Amino acid sequence: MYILLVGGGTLSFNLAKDLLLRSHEVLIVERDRERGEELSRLLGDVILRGDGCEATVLELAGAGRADTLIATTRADKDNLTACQIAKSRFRVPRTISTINDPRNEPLFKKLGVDVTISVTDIVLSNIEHQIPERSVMPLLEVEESGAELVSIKIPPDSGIEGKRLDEMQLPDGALITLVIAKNGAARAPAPDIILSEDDNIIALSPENETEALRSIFTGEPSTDSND
Amino acid sequence: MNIVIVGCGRVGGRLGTVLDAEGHKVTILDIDEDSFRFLGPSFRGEAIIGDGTDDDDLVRSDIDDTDVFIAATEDDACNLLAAQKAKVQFRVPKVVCRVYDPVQKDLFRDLGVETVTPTTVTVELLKDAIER
Repeated sequence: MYILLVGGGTLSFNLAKDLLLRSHEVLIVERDRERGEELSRLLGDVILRGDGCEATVLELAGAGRADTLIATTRADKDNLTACQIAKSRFRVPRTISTINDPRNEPLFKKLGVDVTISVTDIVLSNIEHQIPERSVMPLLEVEESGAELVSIKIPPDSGIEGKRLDEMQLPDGALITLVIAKNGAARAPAPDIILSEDDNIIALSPENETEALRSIFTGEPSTDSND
Repeated sequence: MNIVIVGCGRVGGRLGTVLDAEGHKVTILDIDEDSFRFLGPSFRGEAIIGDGTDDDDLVRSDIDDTDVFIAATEDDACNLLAAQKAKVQFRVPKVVCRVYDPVQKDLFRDLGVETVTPTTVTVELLKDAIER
């Protein structure tokens, strides 16, 4: 099969590696030059640098003979556009898109994307099945920025129950993006929200500050101070 | 009429100002507060900081109650998602979308979204100017 991948993120990279091992023909369309070069070094000559949202680029990529197009960028708008052009202009039989904002899933289906995969939903459902001992759960590496998206669960008896979010002293560069209660209710990180036991704190954190962040929201001493 | 415009660049900002002066109720959305400088001093409509492809931000801009929706950002993909959302999900009666890549036009016609393609329009105008 000829499989076209739009977006050269971690997901796409691993997907390509696997598909190549299974002897499929693969081409990754990646917008960023440096990332494209990096992927070429890792995977060989299977990268096309360009914007996968543009019909001319998809044509150059041979979309006309592709069996499947898989769009995995971090922007839903780009994934949708790539799939729709593939479908309408190049008659690609199967289009697959990851979805970052889960609310977009029904719309994507309605607009003709054959398979939708809601990354956020999958991650969230996995968090619920995590082993309780692990208070920090890495969700996503933000490429090249040195930051990661993590989920931290507030353990019982942490002393954090009842505190306001703005009472928490965050490490430099850390950003709380979402607070998800035990019952699944998600709250925007307003300064005055009250934290409770079993809340999941979804935060963007510089990788070297994640341990400090964990310590703050679990009330446990940081292991970083040992070295 | 109630009109929602996504994207307050030179085009969106100017359009919003003109439609507002004509007496329409205009709500304009942009992710960058700075871009509201493109609105004329006479603008009395509502300017909201928000993402025209985000459900919550669209609801905040009263999309449920609007007669016309115009996607006028400088990013095709953003306009395409916003316009289709307005048409299919929020059932706005009239949706117009600015599309730079002429290739997308047919796709949009099928979906009932009107497109304006600055590239094609500019080419025609330049051609006219030469031939005149």
